[in-house]
Amino acid sequence: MSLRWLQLLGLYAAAALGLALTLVPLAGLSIRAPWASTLELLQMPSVRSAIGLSFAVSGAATLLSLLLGFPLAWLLARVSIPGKRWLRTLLTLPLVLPPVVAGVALLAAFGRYGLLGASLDAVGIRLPFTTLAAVLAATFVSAPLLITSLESALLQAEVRLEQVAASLGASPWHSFWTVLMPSIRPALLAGLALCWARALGEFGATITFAGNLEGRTQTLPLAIYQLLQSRPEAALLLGALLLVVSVLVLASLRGHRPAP
Amino acid sequence: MRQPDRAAGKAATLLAAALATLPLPTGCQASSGSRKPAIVVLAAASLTEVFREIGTAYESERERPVRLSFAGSQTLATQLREGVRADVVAVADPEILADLVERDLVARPRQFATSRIVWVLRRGPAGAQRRDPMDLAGSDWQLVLASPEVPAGAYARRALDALGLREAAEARVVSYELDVRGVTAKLRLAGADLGMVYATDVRPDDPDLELVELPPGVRVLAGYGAGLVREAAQPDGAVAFLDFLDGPRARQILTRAGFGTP
Repeated sequence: MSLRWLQLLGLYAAAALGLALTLVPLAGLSIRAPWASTLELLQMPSVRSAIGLSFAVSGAATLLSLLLGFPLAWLLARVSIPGKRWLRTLLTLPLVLPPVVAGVALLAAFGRYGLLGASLDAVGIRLPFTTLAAVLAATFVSAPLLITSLESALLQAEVRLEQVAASLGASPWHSFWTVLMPSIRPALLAGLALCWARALGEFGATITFAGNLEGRTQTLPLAIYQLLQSRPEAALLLGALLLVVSVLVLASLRGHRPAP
Repeated sequence: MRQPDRAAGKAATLLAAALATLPLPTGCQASSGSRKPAIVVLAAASLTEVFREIGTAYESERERPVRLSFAGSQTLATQLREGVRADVVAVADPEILADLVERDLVARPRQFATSRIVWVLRRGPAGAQRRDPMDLAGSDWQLVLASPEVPAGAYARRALDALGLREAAEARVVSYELDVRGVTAKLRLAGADLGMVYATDVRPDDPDLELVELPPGVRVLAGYGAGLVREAAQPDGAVAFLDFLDGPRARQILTRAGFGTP
């Protein structure tokens, strides 16, 4: 038996284990979910409101991540500033924080007794227990995914092309849309998809910072967790449906992934 | 303007308080040299402190390690239905225990303690007149309750019905928590004004929270039940722990923590 053959076998075995670790739980969920009750489940008011709220919150979080994340990614990729490495590390920290701790951090910042709580209270803003709090929680944990992916795309895009466009008389705006945008588009879409998926699945920071109230802060993951207490089968089904939606969205973006 | 170090200290306190509410399995120290396998005890969130104390007492008396895992009673029931490995289970609702017995997941059920539902509110600034929870209907307070699926939420609903305040309360709820400790956490951390918990969830000397009894005549009692998990890996240890729970030492700990004992 040649060494090479063994190496290959090891590689395949490890890959198969990795695949199994991902697929077996998903298969378990899909098999146990009582698909036949889908219609009944989708007619429950609490489920409908959780679905609507989840799409609104994750959509808003993705948009907010883009608005705040793009300038940051630009700064990291294109502007020479001191301490950039530290800035980059700081910006990815929310990814490693346990989400519950992220929720506490948000409370410590924007809660009634947080750093900015008194100032916010003075202008009549109380964030905890609001839909906006759910959006902020989702943005806090998911924006780093978009920022990271945008930054590397901006690093890889050839600045020279933009310079050429400018020298040919293109306005910065025009050059942005016709030169830069096409080259970062795949990474932008992939980053948006990841960011949105993370925001959609967000649980810990949301329940800690925003609470759990139907129609206001009870997103799908919270509704699933609550259903698990009383109707576990319905919770499984809702989880499986969430999975299907995510697969559809991620698959539709597969064509836009940058080539490896 | 707040001083930064005070703010940092506050953040650390908030973090510690939140971590304390996390449902993590916590192993008490195994006595040195003991090779006996640990007894795994699943317990309701509202039993957190008192079971840590009982666990430690059991360990030092019997030289056998106890591992505790806390969550809402309904979550514990789900875990058992899904076949989690455990030896003893203790929940905050006799009906949940009865259901587990009926499903043949738990044996030897017994009630070992009771607690009562009370209001919990944030302490106001010193000297300020204390708010009366019964004024809820005319207030703009943020109320936090346990979700009706978990025992504390079901008891709270019963209490609100008895007080004739259910509608007023539900209009002011900002969050339904999935275990009772979520209620105190939301009052402590997120600045909600009022909640309903077990009298044993907050110590009398708590700096942030105070308890207010329901008016005389409205008394909602929670019964704590424990039993032996059928599939226990350590059935002998589990039975010994249950006997200990019924014994004088555990009763003393429970009574001191404010629980009623049979």
